[in-house]
Amino acid sequence: MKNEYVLELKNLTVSYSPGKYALRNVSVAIKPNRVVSLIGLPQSGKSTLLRSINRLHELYPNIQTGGEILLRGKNIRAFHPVEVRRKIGMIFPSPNLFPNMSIYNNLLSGYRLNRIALSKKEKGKIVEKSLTDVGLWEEVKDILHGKYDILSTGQQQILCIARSIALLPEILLMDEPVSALDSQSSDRIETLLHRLKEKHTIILSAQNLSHAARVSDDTLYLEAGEMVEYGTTSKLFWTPKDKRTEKYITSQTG
Amino acid sequence: MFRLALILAASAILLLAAGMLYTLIIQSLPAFEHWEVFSPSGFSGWDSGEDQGKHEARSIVAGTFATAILALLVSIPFALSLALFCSVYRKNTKTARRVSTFVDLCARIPSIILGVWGYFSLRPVLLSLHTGIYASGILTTALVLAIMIIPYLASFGACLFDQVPGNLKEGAYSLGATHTEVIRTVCFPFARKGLVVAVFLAFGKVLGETMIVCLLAGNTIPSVLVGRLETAGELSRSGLCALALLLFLTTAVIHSVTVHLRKQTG
Repeated sequence: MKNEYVLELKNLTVSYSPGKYALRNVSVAIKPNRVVSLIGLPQSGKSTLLRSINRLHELYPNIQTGGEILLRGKNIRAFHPVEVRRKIGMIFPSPNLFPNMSIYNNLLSGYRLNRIALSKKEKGKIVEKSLTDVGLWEEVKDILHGKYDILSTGQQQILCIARSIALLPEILLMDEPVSALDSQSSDRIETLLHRLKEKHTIILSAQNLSHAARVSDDTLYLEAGEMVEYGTTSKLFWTPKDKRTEKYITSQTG
Repeated sequence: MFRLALILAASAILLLAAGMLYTLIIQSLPAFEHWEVFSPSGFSGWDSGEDQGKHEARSIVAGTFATAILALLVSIPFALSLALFCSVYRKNTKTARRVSTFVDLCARIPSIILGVWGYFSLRPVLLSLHTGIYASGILTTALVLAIMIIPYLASFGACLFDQVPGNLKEGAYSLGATHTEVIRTVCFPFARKGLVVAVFLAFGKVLGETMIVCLLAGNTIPSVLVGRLETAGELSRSGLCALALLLFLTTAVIHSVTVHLRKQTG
């Protein structure tokens, strides 16, 4: 039987040093093809939560993780971290394209890094499809083999999304994906998220509440590493169950 | 007054270098006239003037460069491995910090101590391998020189790898890259120019190293200069100056290339 949830966190706890928790007992189940926003004050654990799902924390030996993260019902610890990261893509706050590669090679870097051999025809298809999916094909099709630095920061961030979806991840994690962008680029990514959720489940951290309200189906509110409330965005924003959620949303939106 | 003192101090160093170069050129002129040092047969049949034996400048120059290149070839893989261990594989761990401290400590060992260690420990081992005195001399010197520059190159390399932006490395990891792939695709391309600069600097350092080569090898420019200068006749003293000039110019060229590369690296 296919699992109803694409991702489940069970009592997820992360500490940077003994007794100092960045996340404590976070439990949440996420359905596929949803956009989930993580909201909360800075240092509330939003990025930590995303990085735990992607197992990026394991690159830093001092960070301790407890609890379970289930991907389609299977504990992600049962997989090699590399395999998990292939299934769960990640977008960072600012674009991080590889400076030594062309636009074309950046888009295929996921395959190259995973040593997946592709024919020229397959490469061409992947590049065109991922760029079309993010709506960037027309803008860059003539400069594919050039450097990306002639593109705007917004276009570069969209290119990062294209690079990530080229690997066909089931889940896309986005750590404040529009924080470094102007409002025009930010709007463009918001529109893109609606389109991407048809194929991917998206979990994003958002500093900007109106941005979270516009793009997400569900929202999770974190406070000092603890999950305060999780529910559909409309309910959480308009009729929050917890006083702390209400206080946070009122203070942020006036 | 103070400004004048600063200008004088700055000029003095330039004058000193120019004076050194002038002296070396003037002193080596007789040797150039007599032997055509840089011709294909250059320096061959170098007579010391007082029948102290025949030397071949070409073999001395070749010995110097062979020792330096061999030392680099041995040290680069070790140094890079150390740098990667500290800055990528075990970054921010106690082990990496301890290794880093030890590497820094090794970099401060006076070269004479390394030379003495090489003379008493490494040289007998290599001689026992029946490599011959000449080959074992070159090999021992190269190995000890390699040990001398490994900490230097490793520290330099670790600094360069530390400068690789974290979000680039994490970007690669998030796409499913292994440590090896991150090193190959992100760290090396980013640090490449800096690593070339480090290798050039190390090359200059190895070429000019005197203490180790004096103790272990008799056929490099610094050791020949130290060993023969006192007893050389007029003509061979001029020949020694020609060798010193060659070392001076080589070091200057290496330094210029390094400065140029540094400018490009930013």
